[in-house]
Amino acid sequence: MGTAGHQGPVYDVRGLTVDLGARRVLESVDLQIPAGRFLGILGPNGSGKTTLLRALAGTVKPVAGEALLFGKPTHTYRAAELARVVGVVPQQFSLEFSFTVSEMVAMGRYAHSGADHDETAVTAALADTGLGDLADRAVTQLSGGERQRALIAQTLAQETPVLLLDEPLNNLDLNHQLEVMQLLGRLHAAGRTVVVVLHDLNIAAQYCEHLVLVDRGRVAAQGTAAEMLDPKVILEVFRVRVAVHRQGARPYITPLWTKAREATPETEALNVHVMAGGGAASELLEELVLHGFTPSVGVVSVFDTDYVTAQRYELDVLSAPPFQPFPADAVAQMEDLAAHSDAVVVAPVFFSTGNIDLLRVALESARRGRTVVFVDAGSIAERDLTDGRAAELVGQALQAGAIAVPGSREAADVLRRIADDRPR
Amino acid sequence: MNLGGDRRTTYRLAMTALVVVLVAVVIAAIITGAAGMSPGQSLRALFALLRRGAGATGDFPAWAPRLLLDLRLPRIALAIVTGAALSTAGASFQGTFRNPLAEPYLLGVSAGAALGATVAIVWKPLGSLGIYTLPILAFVGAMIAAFLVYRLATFGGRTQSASLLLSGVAVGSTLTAILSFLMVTTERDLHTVVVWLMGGLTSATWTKVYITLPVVAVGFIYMMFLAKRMNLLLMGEERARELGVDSQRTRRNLMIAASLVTAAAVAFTGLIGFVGLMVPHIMRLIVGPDHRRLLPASALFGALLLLLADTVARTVLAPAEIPVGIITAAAGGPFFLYLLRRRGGA
Repeated sequence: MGTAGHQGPVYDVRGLTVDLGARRVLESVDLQIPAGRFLGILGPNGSGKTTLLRALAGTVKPVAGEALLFGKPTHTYRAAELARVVGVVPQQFSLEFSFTVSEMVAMGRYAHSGADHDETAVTAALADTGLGDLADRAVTQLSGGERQRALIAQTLAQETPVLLLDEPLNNLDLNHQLEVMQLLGRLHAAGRTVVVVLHDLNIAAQYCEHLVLVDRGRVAAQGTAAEMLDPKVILEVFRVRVAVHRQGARPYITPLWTKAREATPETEALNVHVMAGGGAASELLEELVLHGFTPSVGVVSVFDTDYVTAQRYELDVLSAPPFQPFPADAVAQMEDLAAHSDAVVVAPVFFSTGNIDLLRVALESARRGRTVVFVDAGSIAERDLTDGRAAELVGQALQAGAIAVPGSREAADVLRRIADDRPR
Repeated sequence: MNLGGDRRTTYRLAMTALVVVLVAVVIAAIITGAAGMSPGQSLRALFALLRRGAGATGDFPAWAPRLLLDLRLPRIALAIVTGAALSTAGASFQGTFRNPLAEPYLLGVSAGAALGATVAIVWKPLGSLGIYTLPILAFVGAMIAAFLVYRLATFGGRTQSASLLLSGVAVGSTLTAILSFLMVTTERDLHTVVVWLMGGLTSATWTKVYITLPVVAVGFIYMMFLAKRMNLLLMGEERARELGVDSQRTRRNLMIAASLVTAAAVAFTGLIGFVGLMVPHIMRLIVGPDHRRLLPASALFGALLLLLADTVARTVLAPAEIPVGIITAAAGGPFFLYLLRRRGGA
């Protein structure tokens, strides 16, 4: 097989540069894939991830650099030699002639021509992909998902130590998507090196141990799944805002569906602090994040819904132990944060003696001439559990120049105007 | 539906049936004809010929063994070889181009061969090669046409079915125009060219069989050798490569083999259309698309079909003959339309 005595990584990609026609699709990509890795390649459409996979498969020839497979450039392998080492599942295939599923899968044995072992390999590949019952069905009569699995089975029949898959989950129902990923997981556990191009970050993070993010023909980031599922990285590569949930063993993300304008340098430069608590700030935080702000939050108790929300968006949070007044050092940090913020937003929180410090700090900021925004200030009387002390502080702040807005959306608009009007 | 097991059985049955029917048609072709001999006399003459040679006498006209040996038998042999050649070439072109509509005639390969043959008839170049001039030029013409069509239909490494057929038609009509121009510039050889173009087995001789048969046989064996790769090529050049096939070389070699076989057949028999389209298609429906079965089945069925067509061609209007190309085209045209309609509906 030529792989036996090889030391070092399965793939060693150095300065790989690929042109398709006149267009540069990959620009000096460096990538190492050690034996036995389960690697996901992700990136926006047109980022070059499929071309990267094709370069690993030896189907495209680089204009500079090389993709070394077991120390030898992929495009210099003979076809049959390569097919014994690397199995490729392309994004699509066409077979308009009515071969049976098992005939099609048996084609995967071409490079190993004529061993007794052929039949067992085909049977195993069919079983692995759940196609045992369809073995004698014509390929032309299969559904999209069954065709996709037949293609994977054909590749499995090659029995290669390396598997490359280009978006193998296309056309598959959710249950078959999971079946395929579990199959890849089993193959990986059995010692194969698996490289898979995916477009679903969550599925990738669930199954792949390492991820490579490709953007505009370059490797934008690579690392463990936990490292790659970072809102900043994903914003940079996919230009999408996401929330990361790290409760389980593997992180997952949810995109922030938004019609808001994109983040601008202005919004990112504006330091905003949010006075939160009791879940009153969750909607506000979401709104601000959607508008491109990354506010700091606090002080909130660690059992507070607002605390969880802030964590989800990976915001800086000042936290305090539950069921007791804020400790002095947390309050001191809040004063410091507020002093360094361009704007302070006060959510419609219920105020008691435990969290009255929020209003005191807000009032100080207003008196220093900072922008202070009260969301739904009109309802302060109903939210005041301090015999009027909270309402009084809000009144004083408004007199000192603080702004009252009816809701979260308007608060975001106010900040947006400030951000846009600020001199550079 | 157990296609896999069914197909093995179907294949054996189909091959047996084809051999039996082919033998029957050969016998029918031997005993029918315009010579004014009864079937019984023909049969007796055949057995006498087989036992005692061309000089045998018996209960049949004295010229009967000679007639069988010099006219009917070489004609039957050439029909079988040509039918097998056109069908296997058609199957290979369809496999190479991944298109069930590909066929030497439609792809302009036959037109290239025809132009080569016409050049040989009209200009008589390479005089020292004698009888081999025509097949060699027909082969060169077929190869040039095949590569023109292939190159013209390939954009960025991909060959689309539609552009392939279009460029086949375009190249075919351009070559035919040149051919027609050559024809009007010659008076002396016009008749020879016209008769050749109409396609027929009228002038079959054993020499022609001896030249054609080895080429077709070698071409067929080579196609069988590539049959497994041809199956993989049906999934596209890139996929075949991923599975270990040197796609480009295989495709090129297959084209050479199929063009060679086409040229060898067409060189002596002229343009016999649609056999290469119809036969593999019908066989694919029966034995499936695997070329390891499709090629032998197509060879037998093509031989059978062309022999049958030729026997009809020389008997329905006897003693006059219809060029067999007219019969195959008359049957093939509607069949081609049927395929188009069916594909459109699917």
